[in-house]
This record gives sequence, C-alpha cells and structure tokens, in this order.
Amino acid sequence: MTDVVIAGIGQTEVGEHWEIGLRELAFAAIQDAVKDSGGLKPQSLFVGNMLAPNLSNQAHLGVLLADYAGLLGIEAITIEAAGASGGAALRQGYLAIASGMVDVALVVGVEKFTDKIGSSVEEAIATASDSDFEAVQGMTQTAQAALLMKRYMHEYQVPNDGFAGFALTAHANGVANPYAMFRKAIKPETYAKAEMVSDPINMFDMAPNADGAAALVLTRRELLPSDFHHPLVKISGSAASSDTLALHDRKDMLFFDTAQISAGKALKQAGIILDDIHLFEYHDVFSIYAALQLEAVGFVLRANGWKLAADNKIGLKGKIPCATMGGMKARGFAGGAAGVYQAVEATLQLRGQAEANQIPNAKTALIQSLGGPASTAVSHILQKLD
Amino acid sequence: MKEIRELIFVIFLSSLLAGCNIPSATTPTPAIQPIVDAFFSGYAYLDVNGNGELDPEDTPVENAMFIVTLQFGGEVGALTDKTGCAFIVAPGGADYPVKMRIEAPKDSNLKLIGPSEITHDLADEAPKFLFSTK
Repeated sequence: MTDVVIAGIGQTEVGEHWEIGLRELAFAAIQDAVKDSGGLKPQSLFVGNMLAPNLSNQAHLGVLLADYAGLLGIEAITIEAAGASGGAALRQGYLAIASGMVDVALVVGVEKFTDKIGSSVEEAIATASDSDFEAVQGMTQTAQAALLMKRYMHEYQVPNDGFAGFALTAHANGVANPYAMFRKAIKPETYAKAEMVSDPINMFDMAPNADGAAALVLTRRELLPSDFHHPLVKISGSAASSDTLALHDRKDMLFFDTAQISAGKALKQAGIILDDIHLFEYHDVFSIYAALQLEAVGFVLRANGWKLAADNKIGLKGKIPCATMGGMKARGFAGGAAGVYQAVEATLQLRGQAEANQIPNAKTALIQSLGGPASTAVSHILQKLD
Repeated sequence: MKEIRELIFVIFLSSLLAGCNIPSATTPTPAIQPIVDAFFSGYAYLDVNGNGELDPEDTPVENAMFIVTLQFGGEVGALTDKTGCAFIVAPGGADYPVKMRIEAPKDSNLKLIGPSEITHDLADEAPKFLFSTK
C-alpha cells in the first residue's frame, strides 16, 4: 500500500479566544498547515468538531471553513465523534488518501468552548453520553468520570494522590510548548491542595475546556518531491472502535475495550508491536481515562496504569513518554480539535522539531483519541520516513 | 345513532394509533456480531508432593498473576481465584499464537516449575502452571 504522509501541520495557541470566531480560529491553523506543506492544494476538507452547533450556534462547518479558506468547490464535511472527532476526521482524511480517490486532504480540528460558560457547557458536553439513561438524570461527563475514578480507586486501593503523576507530567511538558494553555509546572503539594471538582476528581485531574484549532495536510509519498523541505511522517496504522455510550451497559467498566481494539488493529496494520512505540499521546481529558488507556492498550496490566504515572515512567525520559507537549491537561482540551493536536504534536516529535520536549530518536508514535469514556476510540500509528 | 357514532370514533382512533410509528418491543436485534472477544484461562497449582508433576493431590494457588501477551505486544492479565483459575477477556479477539506466562503471588516464596513463558495456539487447552516451595 502507498504511504500516506503528513506533509503539513498547523496549530493555534489553545486558550480563550473570545475575540475571534470559529472560522478565523480554524483558518489560522489551515494557513500554517498549507504553508508548511509547501502550498499543496487540498481537494477534500475533513473537519473534526464536537459541539459547534450547540456552543457556537454553527453547524455545517465544512462549508464554513472551505468558504473562509478560499477552498469553495472542494468536498468539505464535518465529522463528529464527541471528543474523538479530531481523530475520526484524521481517519477519514487518511482513508480518502489511501483509497487513491483524493490526492491532497486537509484535516482540521476546531472547537470553541469558552463562548459559553458554566452549566451550559457541561450540559452540552453531556450530549455525548447516553441522553435517555445518563444525561437525563443529571449526570455530566465529569461526574461520570468521577464515579469511574472512585470505582478504580476502590477496586485497586489507590491512594488519594495516586493520580497526581498524570497532572505533574502534563504540566511539566506544557512549560516548553508555546501553544499550551498552561505553561507552568506544578508540585505534588499543589496537586494535593487542589480544589475538588467532583470527588475524587480535583482541578488537576481534568483538562480545561478551551478554544483551539489544529490542521494537517495529507497526501501520498509519491506525489511529493524526493527532496521535500522537511522530514516526512507517514500514517502506518489507523483504526477506530465503538462501545456502549452508557457505562452501565458495559460488562467491565474498568477496561476500555475500544482502546485495546483500535490500538491492536492499528499496530497490526503498521506491522509493529507496542515495544516499538517511542511515545504515546493519550486522551487525558480526565486522569482516570489516561490510566485506563495505558492499561487497555497493554503498556501495563490492569490496576497498574496509575503506577506508571506515579513512578514517573510516562515522563519525557520515562519508559513510555506520554502527553509529550502537555497533553490535554496542560495544552488544553479543545474538543473536536484534540485528536488533530495529538497528530500535530506527534509529528513534531517524529520530525525532531519538539525542541526542549524532544524524545531522542523518536521514530514511532501512537496517538489515541477518545469520545466519552472510550465509547469511541480512534488510534493512529505515525512513523518517521527514512 | 349514538352507538354508530361511538363505533366510528373507535375505528377512527384505532386507525390513528395504528398509523403511529411506535417501535415494537419485539424489534429483533441484528444477529451479526462483527467483533468477537477472545477468552483465555490458565491454572496455577502447588506441587505438594514435590515430584515436579501435576497430580490430583496438588492444590490450587490463589493470587498468581496469569498474563497473556497478544500479538501486537499488549498484555492482559488476571489473578487466579481460589480454584487456581484465572480468566481473561481480550476485547475484539486475538490473533494466534499468543504468549502466556504466570507470576507467583506477591510476597510468596513460590517458584515456577517449567518454562517461564509458553506459546499458546487457538486449539490448545488452558495451560496449567506448577509452583514449588523449594
């Protein structure tokens, strides 16, 4: 099969962008990605977005962005899979290029969370859960994650500060990322004193909802000159999987089946094993998700995900570096853009352009984007092309 | 006349309700299961008589960690129960062969007799691991 490569990347700083709208935000990332690709002209646009119809009163983002970016006439559609929207959009872009039907695809993730505040945002995010059986009872995704974390701590006898390692790692890695929302490292005592959001989830156990956009230009290797102006990264594995929306419908809520299924398929397609992975960009919108992903993907046996973080094995010099540019916790969680940010950050690592956060000799990355509590999981393997 | 009107009303109401697209409680669930999980079990015993072989008198070992390494390198594991059995589900199935191993219960002095890891094919029976106190 032909190599699908990432020819261009772009991203905006994650934060509160009240002064601009969705189109301007996304266009900033698009501009950078197209420029980085050497001016390739996209034939298709796949937009990952989670909640614009609700939070920004704007649907039909494909056309909105195609129009604003001067791309009218091309195929332009929106992909929605809750928090995994960005990963799902990347997969659609990958499939389009791999099929040979499209030569150049533009994948954009964009979200504006902060134009609304308070309970309306939580209410909107709760639409990603089972409306009839969960959201209608008043259960938000944060409350659901809190119940999951409580159960995990009870089953595996995790101490109160057991999850601190995830936040400490993310914030340490966010310091040198100019696009991160939070660029300040935290100490264990800061974590210990953090305000409780939904017991046992404190302020540092969840990512901040924020605005941001990221973009990728995909094409086939053979369509680029052999002396292309920057190192190329190929997508060697891509897979997605689905599970129940409602946690109570699962036979085992402490194991993210979709994380294992999609990662296993992507690794198989790439023809590699977990030991070949040099960095893992997980979906740390809640610390408990990160722990469960590490276990489900198989980096560690169940009940031990939190220990990897507590033992500092997920740091930049650890056994399996995670959230290498700050993850969702420090970079910020920009909903449907999150999965595209993961791809941009992993590409920086594989190109050797991650500067202070560079993983030495990083050649292979696993990125995994989740929708809800792994009701959707989308996994991609990115590899540096020699 | 009144009875005829009531009859017409009932027929009218019935036809209205019949037109409503209320999902039937007996709507069949699609029978196709595109994703099938894989299941693994393994057993741990203590070599009571010290002959190095599994005998009927050998007793189950609880809390040994039975671990399966899937082909993509991911590991799944479970502790053995009072019967010495551990049961593992691998969501989405598995490609064979897989590798299996077992670790002695934490803080025990048990030592494994035999190979530390075995290759397991789909047709193989659940492996039985034997521990010794020596």
